[in-house]
Amino acid sequence: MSGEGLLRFALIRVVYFFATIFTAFSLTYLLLRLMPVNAVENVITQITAQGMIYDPEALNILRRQLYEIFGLVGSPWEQYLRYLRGVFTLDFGPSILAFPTPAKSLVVRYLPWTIGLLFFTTIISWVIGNLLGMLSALKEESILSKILQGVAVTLYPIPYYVMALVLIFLLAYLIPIFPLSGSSIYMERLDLGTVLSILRAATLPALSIVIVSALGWWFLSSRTLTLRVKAEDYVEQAYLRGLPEGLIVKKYIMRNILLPQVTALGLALGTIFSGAVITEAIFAYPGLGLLLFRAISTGDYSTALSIVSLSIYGVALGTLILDLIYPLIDPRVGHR
Amino acid sequence: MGEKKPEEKPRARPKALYIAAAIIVVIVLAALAYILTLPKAPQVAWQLPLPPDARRGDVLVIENHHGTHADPQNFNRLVPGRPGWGATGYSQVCAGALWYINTTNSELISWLAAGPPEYSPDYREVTIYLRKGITWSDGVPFTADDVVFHINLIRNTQGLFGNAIFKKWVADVSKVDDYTVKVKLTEPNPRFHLFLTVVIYGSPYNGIVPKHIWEKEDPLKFKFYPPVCLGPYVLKQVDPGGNWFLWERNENWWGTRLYGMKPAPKYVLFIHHGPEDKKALAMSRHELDAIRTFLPENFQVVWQNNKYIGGWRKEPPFAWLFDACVKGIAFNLQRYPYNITEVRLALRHVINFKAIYEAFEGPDGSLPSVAALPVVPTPLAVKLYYEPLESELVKLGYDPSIKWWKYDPEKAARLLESVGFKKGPDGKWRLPNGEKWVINIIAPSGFEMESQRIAFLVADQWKAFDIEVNVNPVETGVFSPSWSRGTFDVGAFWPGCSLLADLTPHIQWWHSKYFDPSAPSIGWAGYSFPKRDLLNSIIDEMERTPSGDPKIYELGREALLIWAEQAPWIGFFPTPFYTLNDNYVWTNWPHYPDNYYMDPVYWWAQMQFIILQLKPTGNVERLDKTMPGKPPVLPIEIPKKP
Repeated sequence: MSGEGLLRFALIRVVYFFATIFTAFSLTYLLLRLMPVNAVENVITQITAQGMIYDPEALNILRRQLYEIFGLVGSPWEQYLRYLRGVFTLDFGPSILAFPTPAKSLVVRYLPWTIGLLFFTTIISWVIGNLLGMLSALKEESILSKILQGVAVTLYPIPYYVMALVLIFLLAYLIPIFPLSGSSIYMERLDLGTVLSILRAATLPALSIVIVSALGWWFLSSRTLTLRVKAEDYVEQAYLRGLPEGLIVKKYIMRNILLPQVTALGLALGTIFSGAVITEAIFAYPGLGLLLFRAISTGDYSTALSIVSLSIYGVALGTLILDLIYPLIDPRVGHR
Repeated sequence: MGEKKPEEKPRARPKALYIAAAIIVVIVLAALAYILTLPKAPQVAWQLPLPPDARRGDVLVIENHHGTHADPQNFNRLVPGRPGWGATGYSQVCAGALWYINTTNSELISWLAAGPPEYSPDYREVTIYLRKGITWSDGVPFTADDVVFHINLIRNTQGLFGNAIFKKWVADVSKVDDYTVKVKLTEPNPRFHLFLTVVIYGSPYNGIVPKHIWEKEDPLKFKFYPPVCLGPYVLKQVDPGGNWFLWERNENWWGTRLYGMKPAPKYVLFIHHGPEDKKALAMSRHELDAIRTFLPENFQVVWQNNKYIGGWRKEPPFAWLFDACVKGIAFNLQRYPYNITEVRLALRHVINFKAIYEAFEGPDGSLPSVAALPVVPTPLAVKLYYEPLESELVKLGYDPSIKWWKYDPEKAARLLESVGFKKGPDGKWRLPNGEKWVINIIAPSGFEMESQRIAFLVADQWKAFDIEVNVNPVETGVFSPSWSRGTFDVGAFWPGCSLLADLTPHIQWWHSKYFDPSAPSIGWAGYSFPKRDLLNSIIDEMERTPSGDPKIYELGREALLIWAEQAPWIGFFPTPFYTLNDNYVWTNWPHYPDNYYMDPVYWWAQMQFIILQLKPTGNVERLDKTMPGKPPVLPIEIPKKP
């Protein structure tokens, strides 16, 4: 393929990337505004529902003041333009659920926790799941394969919440290897001991994710793909040509099943910025998932948008990178 | 596909895959074997975030009921929108208020103030006397300058919590001397001091802020981290992940120096373990000493596994019956047909209260405390309101045998027919214009689950009376605006909160002068009915009458009677709260009736008085040997007039 064609292909993909970003952000804005939630009324209800002593007239004045200090004044169009500015600077103003802390700094606080947990568990699950899935398909008749399949099929329908609770009961309560709370670490300074404590506290939530996704989706999908590829004529022909099995697995099977799986991994890594709500809730693990859930359910637009924008950028960038490198891993894909 | 495979043995790669898979399986199996061969979990296995020099016996562990805090390093409570008051421990162990109310008896506790407020005869001026010798945790003296600064800061900063209150009521605040503050009011108000008093939970503007720290900062942006305290503890560490807050006893606390008070726990930890199921596990193995509340099923887990627990009582039934709000069902009085009194009364008469009451019986026999009026039925409230009004309430359909409104479907049908409602050919009730009558109840979801339960129970009963009913459980973000803005027909709301014997602060919002059409809420303040002017005049008079005047109770009773005639909402009871305490590490928790010195409100600012009286049991290792000092009962120290 010519250099000019490559450049044209890359340019078109980049234009697509920006169009996707613009559409996704506009839709997000619209959806958030259409939700019947209101941050100001949440604050007011907090006061009335708790039976707090508050002058009723002053409460009405407070309501009006809150719209101003939370930046919820102005026409929807003005707010939209303000929001678009935020898209490029990644600064959506102060958060509401931790007012006056900027939404941006909440994201900065919880991003390392989320990446630390989800990046590694996603990669580990992907490797283990694909490895076992492929193996179980290649050795269909072996006992191990049947056991693995049984395990996967059993685990797959179990709700994650139940699975996580069982793990907690076993490994934090019955045999207290791990702490009950996801961040039970007292830190005076960051030394090796502290790092080990952090890893120890993160092991249980990580384990729950790996068990469920490695032996769930990744295992089952890679197994199915391998079975399909194994049945292809060119694999059959390779066997008949007497090629060593190692070579067939590597060159004929693995490369083919890796294509869709790499795509899925790229997209999965793009979505880690939204966090893992249930994991965070059940393990009291600080992360962006629960923060996003709270922000949405209390009408804290600035925090919600700060987190969602990461996901939008993550997925869009992931797709762009995949588009650009795909021809390198799949010779059938040209720069068209 | 051909079945014949070459005879040749596979090479290295599949073998490697095989070995890798085998290793993984072996690891999993080994872990499982280890789990299954262990006989029993240890009784005590704390894994709490404590400093190296602390043992379990040195720390009091309280639930952080808010969960993960978005910004755990923000202690500015004056800015609005901060959820989780009382979940960090700030209001319980660090902040200091001039006065607190002991909700068990409505007594005013003078804390930073040297005594009760002194009002001028026309209630246009109030003098506040402060105790001498109080210091902030950084050693700076606490004086009248702080109080004047605090009130002015809030009064002059638009957007701060309480700004509208102090702007409305304070004409001028000044320092007479280092320990005397004079507040000139814009209008007579015998209850102004309640804005500076912790009544229920604790308002953000109750805790006085230190002038020497705040005067240099922008109050809308300042985080006040680490906080400077007037309470018995100082902040030791915050979890960067937002789940816990560790406070350390201040050895130079003014309370110890001046009055011999000293809390026994060296540390107080406010921690979030995760969902309620995990909190139940934590409390079962003594990893949590006090919790706001458990759902009955989780309470049962703890009760079965921890023989040291207590609640409101030391023995079953454990539930606390006097949470501050009577839960029930509210009507939107600005919407047809709920603006018709007969309709509301009819709906009240088709509720079989006994069924709802029994549905709330706890596994330990805890039963709610019935509240036919929007007043929490504490022993004092029963004496002041329920008993004197009983004969009048009977005329309105009250049944003294169940202490609630009579179940009377026939009367309900008559009431509905009197305003044109009829049953259709399908046997369902129809509106006067012939349309089918459908009641939509909005209920909370994910929080206040007891109210959701009430919504479903009531819906079943109204359905049994042939009305079509839907229940719509929604998240807090939808629930709150509906309540506030009146975008609902019927809601599982709780507009009746009260713990003071003087009902004025709790019911003054019923007056039509406080009605805001842009946020009508349930519409009661803006509702027109024959006795509206009378109700307004009663509330006007209550606002002019001081708390201690016996007339205030008489006026309260008159207002309640009008409420009962109109039935703007239906209250059942404060839902029982399993506010549990664990007596394994610490004891001397308040228990009804023998040791009832405070309500079991671990998330309220009043928790300070409980912490000051807890005693170590000696069941666990403890490095710090401190025993509690004198009980937190301070003398009145108002200077004698010359």
